[in-house]
Amino acid sequence: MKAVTSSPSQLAAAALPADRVARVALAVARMLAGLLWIQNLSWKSPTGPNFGGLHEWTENAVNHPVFAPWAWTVEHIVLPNFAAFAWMTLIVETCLGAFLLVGLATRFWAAIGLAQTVAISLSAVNTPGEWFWSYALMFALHLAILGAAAGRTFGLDGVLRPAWRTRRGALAKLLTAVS
Amino acid sequence: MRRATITLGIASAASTLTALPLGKLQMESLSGAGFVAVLILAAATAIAGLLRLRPLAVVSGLGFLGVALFELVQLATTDANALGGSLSTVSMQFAFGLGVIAVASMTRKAQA
Repeated sequence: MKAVTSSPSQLAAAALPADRVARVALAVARMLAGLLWIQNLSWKSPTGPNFGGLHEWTENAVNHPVFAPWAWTVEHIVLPNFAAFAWMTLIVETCLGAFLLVGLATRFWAAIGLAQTVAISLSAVNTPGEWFWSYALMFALHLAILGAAAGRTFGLDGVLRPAWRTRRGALAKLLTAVS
Repeated sequence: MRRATITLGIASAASTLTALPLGKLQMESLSGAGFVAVLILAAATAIAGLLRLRPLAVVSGLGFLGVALFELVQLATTDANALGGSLSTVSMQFAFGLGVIAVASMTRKAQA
């Protein structure tokens, strides 16, 4: 894959595809991932005890187990402390939608998206009516965003990263690393 | 930075289209008041970018974050829903608030 910039250091830092179609495709994929999380917050609710149906979906990990240790964890740790886990889920998914949509700290949030996809998959894949490949595709989407640093193309990472790279502060270094 | 702010303003205005009743393509929900609030903030953001008005960008960014927080507090603590939103609305407005504030903060550092 060719890069937009030419010097070796810039190549290592940017590594963006030279092809405009590829850059647009990456940006569209990232924004769709953001919208995926945003739209799927609509049926969740910040009020308990069911949190808009989130409790029932979480129970699927126990009622239709995919991986025994995960089912045990959900049954004995997650469900007895459901309010805390539900709020954690809502906060993580709200941030996933927001950060991926605008392309800020994209690699970090793509990694979180991968982890959340695995957690959802381990709870839902064996539930009747669920299609395994929808979860595999969700995983692949976040993996591509992570690998391609998709926030650098038509995203805020691309706008702000040059400035972060010139600064010495810990936050700038952190943002450079996770973008 | 200027172009990013303008783009965020236009994108936030365009995002209200996803609150229209489009079936499975509907991404968020907004009442009439919610549409007005978001469109005013979108216009303020775009104007801030066009005229290089960093304080206005900060205000509009905080406005988006305020809308997100207001929606979340209403959903979590009351039966009222003045902006007609959901958690999807919270995430969408958080995205634009976060984006505008991030760009505005770097603009200040670049000017310093």
